[in-house]
Amino acid sequence: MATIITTMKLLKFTRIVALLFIFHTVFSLFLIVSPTFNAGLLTSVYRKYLLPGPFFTKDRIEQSYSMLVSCKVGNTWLPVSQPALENYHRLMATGNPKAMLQTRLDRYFYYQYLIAKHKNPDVQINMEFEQMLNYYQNYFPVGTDSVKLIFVKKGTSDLAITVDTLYTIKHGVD
Amino acid sequence: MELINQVDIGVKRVLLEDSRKELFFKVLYLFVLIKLWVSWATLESIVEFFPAREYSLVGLVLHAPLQLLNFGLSAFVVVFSLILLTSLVVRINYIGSFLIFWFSVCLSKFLFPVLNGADLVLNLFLLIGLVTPTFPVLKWRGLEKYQKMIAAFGVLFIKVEIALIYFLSGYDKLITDSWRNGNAIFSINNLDFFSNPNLSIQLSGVGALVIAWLVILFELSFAFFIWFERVKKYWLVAGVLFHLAIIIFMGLLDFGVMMILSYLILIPRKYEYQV
Repeated sequence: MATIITTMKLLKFTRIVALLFIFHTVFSLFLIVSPTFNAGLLTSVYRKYLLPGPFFTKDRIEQSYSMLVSCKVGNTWLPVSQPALENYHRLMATGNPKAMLQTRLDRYFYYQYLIAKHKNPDVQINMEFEQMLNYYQNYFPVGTDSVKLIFVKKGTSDLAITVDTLYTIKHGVD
Repeated sequence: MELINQVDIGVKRVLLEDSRKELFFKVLYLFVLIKLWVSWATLESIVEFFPAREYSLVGLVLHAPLQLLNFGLSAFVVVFSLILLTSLVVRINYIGSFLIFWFSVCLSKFLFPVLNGADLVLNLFLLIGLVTPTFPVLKWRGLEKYQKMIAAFGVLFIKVEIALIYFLSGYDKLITDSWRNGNAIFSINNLDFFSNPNLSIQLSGVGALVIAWLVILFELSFAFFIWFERVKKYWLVAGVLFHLAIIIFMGLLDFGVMMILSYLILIPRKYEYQV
């Protein structure tokens, strides 16, 4: 008798879990086919933690931003370099995962600056700029007294490529 | 009543499928370990700019392992490495699964400037991994059967999540103009941080269109066909090739590896004997 009761309880429990599972699957499918549906915290949590993706969204693949760096050592401006792109190329040439993380970190710092500048276009030197400059010190050769930073936006849409220089900033280095 | 019986039979059949969850989680742990060691230098750069501080009590508890940073970054890396190495040699269990998930979430919090989809997928699998162990066996008051059933649901949950990830990705592409007309492939091929400079390929409009639709159809169909034993292997092979292409042409190494590793949970144990 006790075995039957235990089996019945297990069956009931299995059915409840199966129902929750079916609900999860159906709700996830609903969220996928209704990308604009928003019901507050539940949908936010679902989309962020239980439905990772989509990863190649339109805004991510149609534009990218670059930062070119030129350093002034003595009285000479050195040729421009792109640390983030160089690290990306190093990743593609060697497959070294450290270069993958490095290029992402390089980009993170200047993207933070671009976001802050976009929010407040009148302020050129802000906290994000100082932080970015501090981070990029490692890429500046010894004796650098000034740097020129050129921010470029590259867009691709309708089978055409556009390149725009957004800002050029000259700044002294401590 | 008949319908409920049919559902019961269906649930039993799905739960009985013997997956290689032990191998799946061990490989995940190995992936986390390699990720931890590879990111060590990056972690040092990040901690210089963003010291891991917690201001709320909840945050402090949730990210308690980050307190190890007070003893230096090495303390966090060494402790996490020991947990992972131990978990690699012992049977998967609740304590190990919990600690790995907890530390992995902390690592992700710390590595936020360089995170991508791979980390979200990894942490999701580790979260579900909290319910998949069947060790230590809970013998008290017949909990063992519940334990096995929940573990089986956990494995099924991971499989469903893999299918949903592909379906979401495929559906999003399907409703996006630039994917439907092939422009997205042109964009990917021409953006600086998405295309391999050593493998520059000039695609025609038709070429881009064909590739875009192959990707859309593959992603949508993957979510469906992995549930059918007879054809599943073809989609898994296609998936491996798809992610290898992403790694080689776009450099998304961690994401590609993560998705390929996730296929291990989709391979039934019987394939092992066939090989």
